Amino acid sequence: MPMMNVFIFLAGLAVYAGYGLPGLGYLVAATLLSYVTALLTPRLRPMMWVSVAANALMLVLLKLQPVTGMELISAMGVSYFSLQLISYNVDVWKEKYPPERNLYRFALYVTYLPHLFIGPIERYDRFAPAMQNRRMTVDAFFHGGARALWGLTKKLVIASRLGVIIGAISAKPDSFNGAYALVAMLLYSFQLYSDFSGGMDMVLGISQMLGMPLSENFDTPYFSRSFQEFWRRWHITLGSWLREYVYIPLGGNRKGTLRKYLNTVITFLVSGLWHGVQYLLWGLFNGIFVCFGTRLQTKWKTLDRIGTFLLISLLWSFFIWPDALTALKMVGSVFTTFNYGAFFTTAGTLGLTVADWIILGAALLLLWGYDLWHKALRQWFDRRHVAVRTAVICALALLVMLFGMYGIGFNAQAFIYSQF
Amino acid sequence: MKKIKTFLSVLAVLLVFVLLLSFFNRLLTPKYATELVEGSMIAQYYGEAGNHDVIFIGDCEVYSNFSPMEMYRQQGITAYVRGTSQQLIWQSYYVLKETLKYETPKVVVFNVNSMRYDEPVKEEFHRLTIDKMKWSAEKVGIINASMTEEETFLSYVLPILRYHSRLTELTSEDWEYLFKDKYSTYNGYLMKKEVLPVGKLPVKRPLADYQFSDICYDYLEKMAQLCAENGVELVLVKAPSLYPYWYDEYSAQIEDFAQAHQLRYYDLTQQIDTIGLDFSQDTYDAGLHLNLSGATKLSGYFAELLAENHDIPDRRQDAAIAAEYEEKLRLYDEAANGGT
Amino acid sequence: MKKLIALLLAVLMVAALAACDTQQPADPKDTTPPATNPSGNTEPSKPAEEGFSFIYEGVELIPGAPFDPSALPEADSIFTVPSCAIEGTDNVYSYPALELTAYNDGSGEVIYSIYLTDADTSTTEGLYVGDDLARVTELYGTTYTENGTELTFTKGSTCLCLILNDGTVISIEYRMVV
Repeated sequence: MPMMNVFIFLAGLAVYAGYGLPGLGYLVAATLLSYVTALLTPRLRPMMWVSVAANALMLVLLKLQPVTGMELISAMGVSYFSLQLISYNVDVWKEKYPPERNLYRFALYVTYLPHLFIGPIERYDRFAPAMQNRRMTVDAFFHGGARALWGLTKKLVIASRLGVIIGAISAKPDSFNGAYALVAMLLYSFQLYSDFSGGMDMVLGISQMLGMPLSENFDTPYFSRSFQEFWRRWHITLGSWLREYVYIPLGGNRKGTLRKYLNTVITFLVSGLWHGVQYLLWGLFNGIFVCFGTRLQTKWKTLDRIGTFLLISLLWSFFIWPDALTALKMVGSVFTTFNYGAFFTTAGTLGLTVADWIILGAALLLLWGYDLWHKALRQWFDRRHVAVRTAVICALALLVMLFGMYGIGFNAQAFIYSQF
Repeated sequence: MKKIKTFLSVLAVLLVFVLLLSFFNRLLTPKYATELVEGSMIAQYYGEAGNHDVIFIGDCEVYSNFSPMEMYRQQGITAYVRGTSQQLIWQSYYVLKETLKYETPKVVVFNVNSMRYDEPVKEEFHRLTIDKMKWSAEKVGIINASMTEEETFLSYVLPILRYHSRLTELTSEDWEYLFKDKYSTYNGYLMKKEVLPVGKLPVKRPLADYQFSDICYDYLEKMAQLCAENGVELVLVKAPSLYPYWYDEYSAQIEDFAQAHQLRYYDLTQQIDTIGLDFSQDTYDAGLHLNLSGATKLSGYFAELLAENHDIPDRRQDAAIAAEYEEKLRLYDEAANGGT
Repeated sequence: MKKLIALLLAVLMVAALAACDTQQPADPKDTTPPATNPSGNTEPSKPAEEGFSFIYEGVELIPGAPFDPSALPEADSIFTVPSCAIEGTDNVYSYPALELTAYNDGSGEVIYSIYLTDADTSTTEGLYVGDDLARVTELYGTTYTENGTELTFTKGSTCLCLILNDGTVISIEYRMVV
């Protein structure tokens, strides 16, 4: 369906233009540069470096912005499409596949609307043929629709509710430490997962509706037994990109144990920087835990899972309190400030109503059950009659409309109708 | 055959979905039956539309101060008040436009208080005016004109998107008035009998700029045009109140507009003594709005003006109307004489 | 046709999704929706720039700062600004020399404005009602914005608003900048 692809392509550009023309200008320029340099690479191999250096430089400058204070243009999704462009130029250079001659096909890879803003990070040799052979089917349409709505449910029913609590706690680090900080970290694990994986479900679901499967980014990561495993199951496409374009070029594990550890730590530092300069320390800790994490494993699976989850939650503190020093202090306070008694007597419902807690608890149970049995559930869904599938989708839509936290009525404090 | 069956079954599921959705829309939208009854005023009109010689349009200063029952009792005038809380002038325009689809009165009285507001005060007020309005081109217009940046049109089509958080705060009122409505006004007049005498008011501060906004003038112009097109006389009025201050500079601007358009303008803030209002007992909120006692005085005074200056006929000789109003007056007096 | 509808639906959903995500980074300059950070953490707020304040009965009143009525002598009157149907949250406290308007921000009362009502009371810097423009610029300089007859001097998140009539100050009010 070449015409439909043209539509999708134009829709991507149009939506992107809505965020500002300078950003669109950068997107177009980066795409053109990558396209032209790749075409020249077979004859003039150093051309690869021109595009890779330009994309990497832009990314690094953007990430260092808080430190340098430089004014740069704002380009949505630059973290994602830059990595795609780099992978393309490197792959062509490594002669994994020949450069794309058709500019439109290449541009579609970059501007494909579903993955333009939050990934997943696709490789060109997987994306291009899939896009050419894209076929919309009734089954895929239903499956994608249900998945997208499920993602929206995760975002609006779970993540927004947890956001209220975490926002309240993180706003006052001086008084809300110790038990409060621990609760914030544990809940943030769930918030982040529901929000990010929910977003991915929406992206993948919508793309599937269009008949275009994209790469999975999550594989029930909190069931991991070690940090190594966690990073294979969380933000998978970023992990695999880092492995292929940072870790392996550094030498991977081929140059001895010490170099392997060093390479791992460097890779995670790059990951930290990619998230933002304030997350470098977070990257460092992750690198260290990945190096030595497996040594902490026991023979009890559940114990390993709980331990890994707790450590990961502690590390998320760098995301809850963006100032690294505060984050470290808060982690420390968990072990030094024993205000657990006060927490249980005064914390109350942490800004949520009792009803909100019940909804949240039920939704988290649902999420847990879904993650445990998602393969079977998806198969069950696909085999149902169209009417049943329609009913499931309608039920999800109603669920998210009723129980989601969104819109003007969101802020209970400012909500006048609470007096009813 | 199989295809038709599949199609029909999907259709049935969708139908159930639409039914459920509209059920929740109804359930979650505030009922405005016993609390914030101001929200049900706009809908009460639909059952009583037609046959009024005078229509009042405006904000709380019309529905608190002008009592059609009293106007009928004293001068035989049939009137209806289409006022809502904090009705902004662009909303007044659409309410007027909607009203003129139902009937063509002789006179439309517009209270000019809203000329001083050129931006929304609170989103909640829009809901009081719009939620219960019937769907029409006017409703689409009033929504588009009223929406603040954070609002979406869709949330008016699907109130569930606005009121979903009420799901855990539902009261017995929401169930009781799920499929029926309860109205609280007498031809649009909201009776309040409490007395809260005026005390010390804030000082009258000079303003940097007394000029009404262009957008307000635009809509006032539109209202004048609409009335002219429909052969309806537009009368401008400023209801009597002590606060917020109605500055002379405001009145002068309205006077200029009225003269330019050959309209009558009554600044009743200047007639408080003539009307006989005593703000130590005629107001329920210390000088902003009149209570029943004040509204009775004002309505008598204004009905006389309408009869004398605008030739509004006395309908008490019309048997059908007399019968209708006899019943209405009975309920009105019952409420007036009952406990507060 | 069916496919077109599907496409439109999908585009709508992506737009909605993108809208969801753009709300999240608190810093508008943040060009990348953070991959793992949906909470929209805000940057630590900058210390507020010094603003105008008015000292009354030994209490420093700053527009935008919390208001504690018990720190001042009892007000002559408190006027709650009512509105139709929905309760107002603004209170006007009248004192012999001024009127202070406070609003409730959900956690307590905040000073919105201080309006001088007494001709014998001057601003902290010494300006009285009845002074002329020369005196105004002598005390506050010439960096002000003009709106109709109102001159506004802004300092931090506060402003001093003066209304002049025929070159004479007729109104002095401190306000918070919103």
